[in-house]
Amino acid sequence: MKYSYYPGCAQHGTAVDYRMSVGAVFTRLGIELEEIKNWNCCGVLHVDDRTTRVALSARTLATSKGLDVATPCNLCYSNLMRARTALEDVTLKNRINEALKTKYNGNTKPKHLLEVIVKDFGLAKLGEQVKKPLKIKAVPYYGCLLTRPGNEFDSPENPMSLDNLILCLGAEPVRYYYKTKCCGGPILITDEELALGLARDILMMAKESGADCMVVTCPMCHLQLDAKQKAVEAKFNIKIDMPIIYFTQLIGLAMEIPPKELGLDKHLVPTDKLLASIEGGKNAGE
Amino acid sequence: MPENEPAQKKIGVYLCRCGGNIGDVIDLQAVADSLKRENVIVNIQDYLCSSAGQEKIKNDIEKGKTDRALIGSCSPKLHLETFRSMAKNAGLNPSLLEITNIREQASWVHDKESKESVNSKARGLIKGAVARISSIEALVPLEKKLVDRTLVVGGGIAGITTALELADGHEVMLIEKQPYLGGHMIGLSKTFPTLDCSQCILTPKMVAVHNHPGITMLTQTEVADVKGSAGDYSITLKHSPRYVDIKKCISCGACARKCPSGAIFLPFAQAVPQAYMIDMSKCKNCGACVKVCPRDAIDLDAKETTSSVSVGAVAIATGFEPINPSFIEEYNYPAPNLLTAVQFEEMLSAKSKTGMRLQKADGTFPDRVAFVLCAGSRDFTGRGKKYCSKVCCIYSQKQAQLVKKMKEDAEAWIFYIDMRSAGRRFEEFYHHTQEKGVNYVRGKVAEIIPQKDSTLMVQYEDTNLGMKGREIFDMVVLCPALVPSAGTKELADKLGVPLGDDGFVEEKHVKLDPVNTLNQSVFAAGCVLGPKDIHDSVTEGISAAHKVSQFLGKGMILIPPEKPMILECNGCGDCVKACPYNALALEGGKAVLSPLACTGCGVCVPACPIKGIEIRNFTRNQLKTQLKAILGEGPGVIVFIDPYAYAAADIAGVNRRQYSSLIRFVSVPSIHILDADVINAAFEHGASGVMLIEGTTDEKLTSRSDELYKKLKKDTRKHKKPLRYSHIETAQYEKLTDLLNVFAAQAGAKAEKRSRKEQADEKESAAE
Repeated sequence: MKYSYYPGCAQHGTAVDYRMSVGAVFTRLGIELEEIKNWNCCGVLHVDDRTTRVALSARTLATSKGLDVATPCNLCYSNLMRARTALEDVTLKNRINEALKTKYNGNTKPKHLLEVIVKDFGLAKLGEQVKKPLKIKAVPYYGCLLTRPGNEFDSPENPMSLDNLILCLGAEPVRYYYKTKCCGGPILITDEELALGLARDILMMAKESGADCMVVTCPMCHLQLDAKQKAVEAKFNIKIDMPIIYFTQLIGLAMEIPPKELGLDKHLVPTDKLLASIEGGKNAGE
Repeated sequence: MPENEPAQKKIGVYLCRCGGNIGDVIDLQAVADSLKRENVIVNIQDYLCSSAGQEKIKNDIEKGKTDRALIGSCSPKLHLETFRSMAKNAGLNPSLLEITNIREQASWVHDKESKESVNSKARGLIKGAVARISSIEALVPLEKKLVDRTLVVGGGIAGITTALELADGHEVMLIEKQPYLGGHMIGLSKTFPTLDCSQCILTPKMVAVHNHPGITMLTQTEVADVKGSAGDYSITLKHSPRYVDIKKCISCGACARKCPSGAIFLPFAQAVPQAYMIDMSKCKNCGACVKVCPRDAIDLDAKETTSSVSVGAVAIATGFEPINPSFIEEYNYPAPNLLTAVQFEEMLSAKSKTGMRLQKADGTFPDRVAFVLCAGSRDFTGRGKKYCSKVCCIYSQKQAQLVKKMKEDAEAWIFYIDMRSAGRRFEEFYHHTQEKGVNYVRGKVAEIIPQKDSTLMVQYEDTNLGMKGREIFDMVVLCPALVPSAGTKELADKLGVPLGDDGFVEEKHVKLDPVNTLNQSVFAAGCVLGPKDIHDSVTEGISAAHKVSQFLGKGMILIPPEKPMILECNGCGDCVKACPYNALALEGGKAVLSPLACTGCGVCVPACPIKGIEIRNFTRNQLKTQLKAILGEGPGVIVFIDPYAYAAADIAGVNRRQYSSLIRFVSVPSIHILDADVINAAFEHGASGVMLIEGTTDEKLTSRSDELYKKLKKDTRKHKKPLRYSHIETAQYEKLTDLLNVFAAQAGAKAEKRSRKEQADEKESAAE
């Protein structure tokens, strides 16, 4: 299995731990991710002009050498998907292709890494790689962009792919009603109060469910829920203490990859207790 | 042979403008002018169906000006009977009057086409019909004796009413799938708008059914199989076991007191029949009940049984069921204290398991209750049902009133899109509910999120205030879309009754024949015809009973006389083998037809190796004459269509679904009467393509269609023109028009390619 890999800016910035765990897990699973040379920002947060934004994604898709484009980031994924739809407009496509060195032909498909694992690689095959069933309770948190706008991959209202992945790793996905709610990350700068309020709702719902950790698929969600968790606690005078784990880190733990190699020491909310309970193999309820 | 009859036929052609419905689109005068050479009289009227219009035709017949009448108007499904009974009164054999449909299948469906193309279609259709009517013979319908017994399927309020209304004059068998009568109505609390108790008004009716000497009532019974034909059905019934003999059980309850697992019980106190039953999933087979029963009524080894009944008419009253709202993912159903309105009702009804108390999962009274309307209804996204479920606006207000009545300071909120309270006393009811202090929010609920403490958070948009909101409730009641009950399709297929695209039974006419189906011996009442309240279900039950009584009262059923005639026979027996209904047999080395067993499907026609069989008034020659005349007015696509698919084309017309005006329908009793002779004739006379469209759900026919199509395709290959078969049920009118458009485009493109090639060939040969 081979994909063109579009890491997005976060992998080279705030989400080093994500990058480490993707590398550790995908190498071991034999899924080849070939990073696109000289890739550009997807423009999701920074570019207002639609044509420019679509053009940025068109360039990414055009330089993938005909392979499907895998990306670890929900924002990049959603942006690539939207660009792909927009480029069905032939006039727009022709206009953008005038500016591109390698022309966009519409043959490449963007895929989130979760889709690569769950659909392309397959949970049955992944199950064979599980050395240590995790025996913890985990919140499956998809974020708002992974399944929106609606796509073939999963339901926009009640997606199940991450639930099934958690189950496959021997852990228990809790029933969680905020699966696809916005974490507030993209509006943190413009409206901090609202952004932290959204994060509080999501985190408190997770805490009330009795889970040991939240599993995320997006570096922006991770930044908001992990790095800003202290700020949420301070602002609303509450205690949360909920480890936020990338799904690739969770897979790595089940494959008995050393936590350090997965970047689990780089989190702001400590993961020690979580790792201890996985190590002990005991149920969090006990 | 009809073709050999004296040629002096006086054909009257009567064209209807239908106000402007036809006249504004089709130039009827031009159609009339085009018939000048045909030796017919032509008359154009504004409304042929009016008494003036009918009088004109009647006069012509009585004065001997006309001895065959062709009418160009709306669908024959609407007015053929009207005109034929007029013809009969005027002294003309009704079979010599026919209708060509130039409204539903012409003027209503070709808005986007040029006037000339629609006019040429109309001229072709009328000329084809004139050719046809001059070639047909006068036939007299066959008569069959009716069985004076009616099967009513479904023991809810519609079925109960039908049975009771019929039973004084006719024998009735009422069957019900559940172990007791009453359907959904026995699970209701109070009924709107009067708030009288549902059970109190229904129980006397159930008892009356039970005691009526003319009604045989069977519970836990379903239709397993249907044999025979209209007016004379042999129906196999399937009875699932109750394990308690209804006739012996006296409801003393001794068994229930002894049962260690609570498996034997009376469904509810007022249940009819009044007898215990066993839930085998709970039964430990200990036999304690058998020993203690003083009447020896219990048999733990009872098995499913079947029985057979012959009936002349069937009334379908199988009702509705609520859709399971779990497909609305953002509502998170099921969850504690998140109910459907049906569950809410049952809690407060005769079937209550909480002692008729409204309570939450923890047993306490809910202080804040939300009602969410249109859960799965009025949804055009493709996820839910498009239609309005009609009763929810009023019953949810009734339920809100009940909440307020049980606890005055409890809060009841209703989330609605539009508050629909049309109907006598309903607007007053709406007003009264408002006065009770019920909270109305106009806006669709976006999300229902169960909370840790078993309360529910409702997120919504209030479109009156233009703001979003969220509220916590103790209980949320979803008002689900009402859908036809499970098994409706299977039953309808067995009885040859088409359903609409919403899954409800299609009425014979949506306004004028609301309880008849397209099968003359099958009737329907209640929610199987669409969501409705008790009042309307009862009205339909009474109507259906009247219609059944009228039908059975004749004692005879008229059977269409378009049956096979055996003109020549070499005794090979191929037709006998081919006949799906055992209507043909060899007697003295020749094939003989039993006309009453014959359905006129025509499978025998192409089966005869010497072409010795023809269907009366649909002979090969008659069809060819009609095709020649139709195609004489310009090229077109010939579409042979059976009566069920014809109904789909009519629905497409009523919905103004546009399609190519190249389409020329030729109505046939079944596509199985066709052989390569007829199709080749269509191609030879200039058809650019031929379609066979079949709508029957009779498997005896549809299972042969593929083979028929392959054979026809092979035998007509030399023309190199497109031939296509398609199965379109009555409900699938959208699919039909899509198909017609695609095929017309294909046939057109092929024809163009051919003519270009021919022109090139001509040039080439001219050059040589």
